[in-house]
Amino acid sequence: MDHPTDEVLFEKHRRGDLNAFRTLIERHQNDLLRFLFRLVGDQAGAEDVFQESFLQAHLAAHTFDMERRFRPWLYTIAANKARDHLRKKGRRKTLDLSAPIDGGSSSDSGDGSSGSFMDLMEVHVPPPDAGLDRAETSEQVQSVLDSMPYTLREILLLAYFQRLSYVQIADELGIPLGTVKSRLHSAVATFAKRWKATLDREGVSRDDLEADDRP
Amino acid sequence: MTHEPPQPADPLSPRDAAAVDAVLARRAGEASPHDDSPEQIRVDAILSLLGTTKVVARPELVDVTLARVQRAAQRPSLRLNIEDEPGLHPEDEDALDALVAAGFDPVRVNSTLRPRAAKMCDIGGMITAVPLRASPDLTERTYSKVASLAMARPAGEQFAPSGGRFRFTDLVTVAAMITIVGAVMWPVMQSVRVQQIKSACGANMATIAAAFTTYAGDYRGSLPVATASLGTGKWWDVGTSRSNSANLFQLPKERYIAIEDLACQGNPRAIKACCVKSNSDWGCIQEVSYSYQLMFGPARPIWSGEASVILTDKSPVVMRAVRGQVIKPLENSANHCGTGQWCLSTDGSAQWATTPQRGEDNIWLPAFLDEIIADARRRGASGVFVPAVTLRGNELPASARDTFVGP
Repeated sequence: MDHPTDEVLFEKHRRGDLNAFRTLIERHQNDLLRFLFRLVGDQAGAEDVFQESFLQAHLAAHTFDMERRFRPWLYTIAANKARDHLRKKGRRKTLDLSAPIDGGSSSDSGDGSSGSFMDLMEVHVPPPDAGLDRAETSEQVQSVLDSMPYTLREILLLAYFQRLSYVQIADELGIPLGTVKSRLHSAVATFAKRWKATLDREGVSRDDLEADDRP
Repeated sequence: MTHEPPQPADPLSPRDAAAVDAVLARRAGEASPHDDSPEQIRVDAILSLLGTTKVVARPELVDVTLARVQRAAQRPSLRLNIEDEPGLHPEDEDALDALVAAGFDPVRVNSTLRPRAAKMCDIGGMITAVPLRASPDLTERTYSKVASLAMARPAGEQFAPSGGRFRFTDLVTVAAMITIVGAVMWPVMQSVRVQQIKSACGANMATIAAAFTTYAGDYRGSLPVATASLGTGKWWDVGTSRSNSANLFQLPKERYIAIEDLACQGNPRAIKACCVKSNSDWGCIQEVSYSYQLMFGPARPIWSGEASVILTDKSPVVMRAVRGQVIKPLENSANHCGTGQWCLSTDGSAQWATTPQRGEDNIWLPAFLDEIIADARRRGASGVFVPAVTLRGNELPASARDTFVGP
């Protein structure tokens, strides 16, 4: 069955084939929406930004370099639109009351991790089919993401959703390679530290979670 | 304007200087001799002048200050710097770099770092797992916005009549724009509407399947049949209660389904309400929205039996035959503007088909006509060659597996 690439479809769209653009929208709908949901924190906002992103892709179609890949380009547009959306909304990020308040010192005051380094092997991640309710886990993850600075959240989500190399991320975001590396290191450490603090604060110890996982 | 150079301060007498030192030390809580000398009394009096002020703090000052501090505390951008964020364990840093280089496949990371890389993948899985379902019309809304924008004039070419009055040429321009936008938007709007109707019909298929399931449960797997034999009539004689549509009408008549669930939005004559108790069939063929497997054949299909198509969007072939027109076997249902049709099978599944041809079986035609067409195709040079065939209204399916729907 004919399965044209994103780039071929986008080129068709540039030549006036709107149906090709519909295929692109349908093809990226689920992944991009999940990415945006994580970035802006609510579905209505994510759907608004989703539409804005495709509109922008249409408006900037002439600037797209056909030698490049469409998907990273679209995600970069979406990340920028998400930033605008949050800025317009005047919401730096409403902190969830359960989110860590002190980003720098929460772990020092009792989560057991070192103040300077985050060791990922100390972090518990529930398996996808864990007894802990998936929706609840997703909400906790969202709460932690919401509490992170936008730049860290953005690079973390771009990396995980897109699976890009450092060079590609640097290229898409227009920032130096070294900055990409250090920022992603920091993003993973921040997320892990706050995730651990969230579990600790809610009294969910690793042992409890593992006990939940058992049949 | 010039500034005068600062004048040197007048030096204190040694006794006054000692008194100032003593008073300041005493005010700072330090032990100092307190002899209440005239010099110290005078220094005390002079320093007391500095503390006299009529400024009184407003009571809300404390609240306002506190509120500002709290607001600042809640702003991550003010509260946090990337430099303040924790760093990764050096081995985690190496593992992350290796994972990124391996395209996020932990198996490709060397065995020393693999457990940490796998942990990072677990974290990624947790972040990317979002139990989210897009609104059903999100694609359409997005597409419509882009389509509308595609029709709009480029920015910077705003229409602005000079002198605040419309000229004839302006009116002509506006009329032309309306015509062009209308002409271009019409297919887009039509496409949106077709999609909506398609979705609605898909929902109808699910409801009809549920009704068939219940009916078959009550009638030992049988599907609705109103009359056992066709007699001398034609199965497309809707309204005579001996038509094939009367068989399907058993569903609403026996209250297994609402009549409106058998109405397609793409059929402008479809009825959504009628007295199903006193009627045995739709009033005329135009009111029927879905075509049902002809149930007068030698072997009728049963529900949940071997999967075969049992109900489809309305057959265009039958409509042509009723009007005495030449039929087009490969034509799609008019319910969805000829884009395709829903096909509900006896296993309860519904598929959207963009052609009525299912292998050698044409869903609009009985097997003997399918064979004639297949033979002609094999002999013909063109792959789309279809011989002229006709229907008379008394043809029947060859078997339960021969899909042949009507009206």
